[in-house]
Amino acid sequence: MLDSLYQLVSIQTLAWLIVAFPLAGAAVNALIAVGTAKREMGAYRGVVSFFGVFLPLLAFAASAAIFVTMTNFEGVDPSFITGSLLQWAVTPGLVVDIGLKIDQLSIVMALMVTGVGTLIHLYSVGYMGHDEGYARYFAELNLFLFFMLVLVLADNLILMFVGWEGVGLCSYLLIGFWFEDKAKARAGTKAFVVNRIGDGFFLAGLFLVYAVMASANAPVGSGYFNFEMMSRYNAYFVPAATLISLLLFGGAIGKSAQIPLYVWLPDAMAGPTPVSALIHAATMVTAGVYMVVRLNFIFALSPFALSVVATVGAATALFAATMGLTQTDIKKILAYSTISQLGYMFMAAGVGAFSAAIGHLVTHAFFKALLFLCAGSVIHAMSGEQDIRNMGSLRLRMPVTCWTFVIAALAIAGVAPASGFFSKDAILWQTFERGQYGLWAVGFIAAGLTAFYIFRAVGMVFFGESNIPPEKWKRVHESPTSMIIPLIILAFLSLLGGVIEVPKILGGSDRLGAWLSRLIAYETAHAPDPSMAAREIIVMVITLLWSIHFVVLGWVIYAQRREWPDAVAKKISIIFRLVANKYYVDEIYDRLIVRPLNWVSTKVLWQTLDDTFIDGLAVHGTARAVGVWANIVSMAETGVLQQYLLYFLIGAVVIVGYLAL
Amino acid sequence: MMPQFTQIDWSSLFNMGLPWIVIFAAAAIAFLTAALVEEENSLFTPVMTLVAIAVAFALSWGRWLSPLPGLSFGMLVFDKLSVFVWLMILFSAAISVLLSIPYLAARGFVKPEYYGLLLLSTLGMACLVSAGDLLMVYLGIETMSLAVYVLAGFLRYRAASNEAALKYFLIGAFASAFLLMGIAFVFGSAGSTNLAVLAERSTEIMAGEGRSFYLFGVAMLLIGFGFKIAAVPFHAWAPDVYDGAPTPVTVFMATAVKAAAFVAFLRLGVSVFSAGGEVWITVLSVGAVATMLLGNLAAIVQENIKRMLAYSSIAHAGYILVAFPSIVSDPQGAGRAVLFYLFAYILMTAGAFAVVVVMGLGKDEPTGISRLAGLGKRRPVLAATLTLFLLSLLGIPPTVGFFAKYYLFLTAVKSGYIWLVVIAVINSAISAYYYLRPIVVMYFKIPSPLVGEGQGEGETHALSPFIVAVLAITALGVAYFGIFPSNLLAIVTGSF
Repeated sequence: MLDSLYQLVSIQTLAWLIVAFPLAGAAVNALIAVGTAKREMGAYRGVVSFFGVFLPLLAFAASAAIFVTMTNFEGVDPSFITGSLLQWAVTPGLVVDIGLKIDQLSIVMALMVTGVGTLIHLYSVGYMGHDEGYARYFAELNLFLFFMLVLVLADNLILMFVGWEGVGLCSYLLIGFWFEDKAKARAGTKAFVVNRIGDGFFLAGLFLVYAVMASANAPVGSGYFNFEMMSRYNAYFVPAATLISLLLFGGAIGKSAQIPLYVWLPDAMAGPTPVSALIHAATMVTAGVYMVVRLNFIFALSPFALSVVATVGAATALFAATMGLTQTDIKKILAYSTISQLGYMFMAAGVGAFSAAIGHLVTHAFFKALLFLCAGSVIHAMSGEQDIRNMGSLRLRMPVTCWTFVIAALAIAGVAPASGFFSKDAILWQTFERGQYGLWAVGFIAAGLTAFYIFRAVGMVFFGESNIPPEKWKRVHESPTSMIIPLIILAFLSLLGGVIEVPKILGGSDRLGAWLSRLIAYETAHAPDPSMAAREIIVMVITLLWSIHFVVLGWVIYAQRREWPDAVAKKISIIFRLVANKYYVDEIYDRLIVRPLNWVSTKVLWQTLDDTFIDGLAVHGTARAVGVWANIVSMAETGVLQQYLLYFLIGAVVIVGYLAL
Repeated sequence: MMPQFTQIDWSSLFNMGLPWIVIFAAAAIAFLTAALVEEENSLFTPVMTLVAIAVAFALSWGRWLSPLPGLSFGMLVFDKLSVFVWLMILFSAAISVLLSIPYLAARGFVKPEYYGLLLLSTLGMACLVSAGDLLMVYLGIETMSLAVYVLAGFLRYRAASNEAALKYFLIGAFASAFLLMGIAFVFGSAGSTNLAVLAERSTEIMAGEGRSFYLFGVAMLLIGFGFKIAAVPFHAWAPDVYDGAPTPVTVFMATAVKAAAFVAFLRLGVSVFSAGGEVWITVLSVGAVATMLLGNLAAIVQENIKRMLAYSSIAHAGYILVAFPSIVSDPQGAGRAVLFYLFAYILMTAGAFAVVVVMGLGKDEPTGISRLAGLGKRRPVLAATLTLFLLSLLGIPPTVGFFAKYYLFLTAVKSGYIWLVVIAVINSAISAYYYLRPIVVMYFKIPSPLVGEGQGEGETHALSPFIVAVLAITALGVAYFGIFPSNLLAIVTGSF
């Protein structure tokens, strides 16, 4: 079947189609959104749904076709580049092509992005069905998919940055999708601004990369930022590797919501829930991890930078997990959980376990997207209610949502055989194996907390007594089929997704690790010690028991003994309040950074410097002066012919006079 | 010196002059039609005029494309430059004709002699741009101007039109006197009026006794041309005349007349300025600065779009003058920059005035900028086209106006007149105010009900196909050469 496909299109064209399909969807839907009044929207809903869902599905099909083709190569490196579609920037000192690179890493990412993306698009058909901005929503969501695919498939760092900024833009647009609500628009702005800080570091990193490549006398024509070229000139990065890695990681901190720039992600939950699932759980926020793995050949040059990555990741994993314990908004719980899980991925990347980071990235995309979609299903059924204290016992009314949520919760808690068990275990074990016992301990504790807070949500929402008023309870119903189907598919993936990296010790073959090994040379250089096998089993079992223990604990307490935690919270009220208020980080940022900046901006820069001097004297002053002169000059135009002749004569006299002198 | 009768190659002169003969014949037919035919509303004359222009254009284009070297007949020079400029002139004459058809029809004042006059003026320009001799320059200027004086006052029932014609004529006569006196002085000091001879001998003359007479003579010529190109302080007629004349005639004056005068001035400059350059540099740069400043400043306060464009036209003459001091050191670069600019200027000015013609298709001629309010909603395409032209006049990429200004200023910078370019750029910034204002009014101002009523008159007129043609050609030109300036640059380079 693939053979007949390749008779029609070359594999390079197919790669371009992956990015082209969502772009086409965005264009069609944007045209519909712009061209139709809100009232007429109903007529186009079918068209929007069709293009909005079908084109991402085609992109997925294209990715899958390429992936299958690549798996058929044996012993040969199946990765390829499309070559440049066009040269974007051509100067004597810089050439940037627009080209794609399909390799083992990017195709996995593309599969995940298009696959999960398609499911979430399908889910949105039901979830956003009644919204007036339906076409705009799909236009922006498709556009996001396009930029995300550009980000992962780009063959150079600049194009990747284009995707990086593009997803940031779409994230901003979609967080503030209901922009009539000031608070939501503001959340979008916050996300955008915080991301800008990270992007500043990223840009600085790019400049340094340029400087390195230029000083290495790399050929300009093939592009300084081409990944291929960068890895070929790897050795030249040694002196600057720490700085470049840290700057690039600064960008990742912003995009992937790590300490200290994680503050935008909880607020980003203001967007529609499918958006949270797609952008703020499965895809965009993982871009930072992807970037670190993609550039592992630079990061690996600097042990210091890697240890910073690992430490920040571990700290975030723990810190965000504790904050997840006290949240009462179902989406906020998931948001902190996302931050925490991203921390795991960075910890993995930081200790050099790059393929484990990607493994967790993929399984996390499955189960976290599922958690969000289930949450959306609950919110949809509860007419917008998000506080878990006002829920309970929902399994009776929404069985599919309930059991798929439980599967996802088991996965994130790391209970075997769900996918999360394998991916999290890979991270923890590889951290342990490399002797990073401190990091391992942090990850271990965070794993327990994760299991606890997620089953707290399970207990509060789906089990125990219902806190829903009876008249509302009657109206609660299971979601429509278009929303249920993605839940079921994702539940299967969350449950079975672990097959991609069953470790050798359990009779598997760690397929993902083998698949990515060609890209991550530094990881394979580390030869596993055979005597570690026993320890691996022990660590695995301990982690599993530890997680299960917290699963049970969380579920029991919050489904049956809800008064216990309140009593505990009273006893440790100081700590509880500290955690419940998210360590006052937002407030600290507000006092330390936002307000002083605001003050300086308002009083000094705006009112004094700008209003008085620049605007008042320079800008308006100049304009006023020009205006005055314009009036004077035009007064000379009297319409009286004699005066015109006089001007003429004066001119003649002046010229002749000048020549005579 | 002047060749003898027998030495002239009559057949090649006929060959070269064929386009002129076509134009002249068409003019004669137009006048005959006016005298013999009663029915005045026919499209016969304008169509015949257009056909004649097209034939002349085709013939001249063939000449431009042919690899043959230019021919000089002493009095007349047929080189690539004159052919190229004449093509530009024919183009803007065709545009004026296209605009005139609906304009005159709307006023019920269709007269065949109108087109005859237009053709005669075009013929005068032909002489002017091909002139190899100062006498021919004078002859060309007078032929061209006489017809335009009449055209400016063509709407004889309108006081403003009469006033425009009279002012133009009186000041024009005054300027002609200067021109003629200048020619006399030059002849007196140099013993010749032939430009080629002057170019050879000017260094010698400047060193000799006749220096002061010669300088005086050239200064007088400068003043005469200063009038034609509306350079300060010989500009004062321009706003009144541009405003009062029928709009298609204004287009003709602002584009064809100006281009012809500038090219003749350029020819004169190339022959004369190289000797004793420093003197002319000062005069020309002061003139450029004064012209730019006055044009831009006065344009700011105009409420009438026709007057605003008139001042804008003065300002653009100032920009072109910025390249003139470079003639001394880099005649080729300056000439090319000027030609490029003239071409761009014809496109964008003709387009902008075409929109003014559309505004004036009602009974009265509502040319207040405030009348544009709401145009963006009512006629989005028209508003977008006007926006394009205004942005091009302002010099925003990717329009042809940007590159025109760029090459002009680049030439001046290369020759070392950086201060002049700085002033020119500041002036461009000032011009943003009045070019952007109509755009703001069109898109962001709500028409007041009172204005709206008057507007209703113009609205009932569907766009005439002739105007659509003009708008389409000019807008495409502005956009095309803005995106591919190298094509235009190649043409210009081939011409000078």
